Amino acid sequence: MTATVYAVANQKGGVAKTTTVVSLAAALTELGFAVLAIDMDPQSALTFSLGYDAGQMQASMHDVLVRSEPLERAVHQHAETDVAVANADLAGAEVTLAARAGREFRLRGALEPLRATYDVVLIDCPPSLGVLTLNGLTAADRLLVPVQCETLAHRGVAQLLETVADVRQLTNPDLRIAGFVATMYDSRTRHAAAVIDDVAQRYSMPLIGVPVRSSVRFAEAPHAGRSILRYADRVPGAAAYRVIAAELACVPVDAQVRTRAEGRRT
Amino acid sequence: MTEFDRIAPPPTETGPAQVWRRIDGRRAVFSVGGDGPSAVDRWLECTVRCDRCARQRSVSPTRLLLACVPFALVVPWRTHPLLARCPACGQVAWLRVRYPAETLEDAADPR
Repeated sequence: MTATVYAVANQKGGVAKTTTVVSLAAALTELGFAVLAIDMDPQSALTFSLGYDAGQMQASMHDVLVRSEPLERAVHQHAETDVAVANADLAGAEVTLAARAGREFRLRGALEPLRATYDVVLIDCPPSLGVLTLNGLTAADRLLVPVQCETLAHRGVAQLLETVADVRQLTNPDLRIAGFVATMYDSRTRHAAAVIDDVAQRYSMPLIGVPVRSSVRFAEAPHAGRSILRYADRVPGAAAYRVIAAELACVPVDAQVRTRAEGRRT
Repeated sequence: MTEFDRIAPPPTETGPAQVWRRIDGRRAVFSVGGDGPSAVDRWLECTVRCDRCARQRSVSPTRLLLACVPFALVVPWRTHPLLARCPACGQVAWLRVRYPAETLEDAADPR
């Protein structure tokens, strides 16, 4: 068994990268996969969303990247997924690593011993082009791009793909684009559908699963330290992430779940 | 003009000027040299341009020597006179080697 590593990235902030990582990790765990989610964002939203306060943890991703601590020291076992926690110290890693040769390969090296332990690894990248994002893209086999269904997130995809071209040339020629996840979808607007169509056509990038409909439950779930799948199982967004997880894992999608994901009554 | 035409897809073909602009810009984040060395490193590295993959890479002399093992051939009259393993694509290819490594200014000046 060797893990498939997904980097979840978009250079635009607030497009539901962390929500996508938490929800997909939970959905893939439901399907029976061993999942590790890695928080590479100094805002540590992933860590918080799963109920942890990384300030009180023995080790975090900062220690892994800067002090070469083993990755398993930063890993905690949540009921829905294993998670490698981060805190604000990770911002310092950008500066500390800036002068080190081979800085893009720190996460890849740290992840190597754990690749046999997990089926899927999801890396939550920060919304910027820096050392941390490059570490995520260099360690990944595939890239998953959350796209909020609006113009600026669409533009973030164009910028990210330029970075991906650099990464392929310089640090990770095997990086493949799995596709994009359409987030915060509002079926009442034509603009949302137009963004999805244009992203798919302009970049020849497949939409994974179905668009994830917006819901206030997504905003509430982090407070409870649970994913949307446990916090509000009945909202269409939860079903959408189940469909996306099933498509990524190449397992059949339950028809009822797909119907619910599309916002239709079952 | 459609709704999203101001959002351009990433360029697939780039000229040397664009490549060097990228090195100065977002590629400065990378520590590994894809196309050119920093001004400080140029005396520690050579620039290798591959006739096969068309990429240019800065490598240490030691790495260049390793690329010549176990097989290398020099044909001085060729524009790419060294047949060895390309450090960029890993294939045996005709290479052009420059020492000290080329800088941005060298690339901008065709002389």
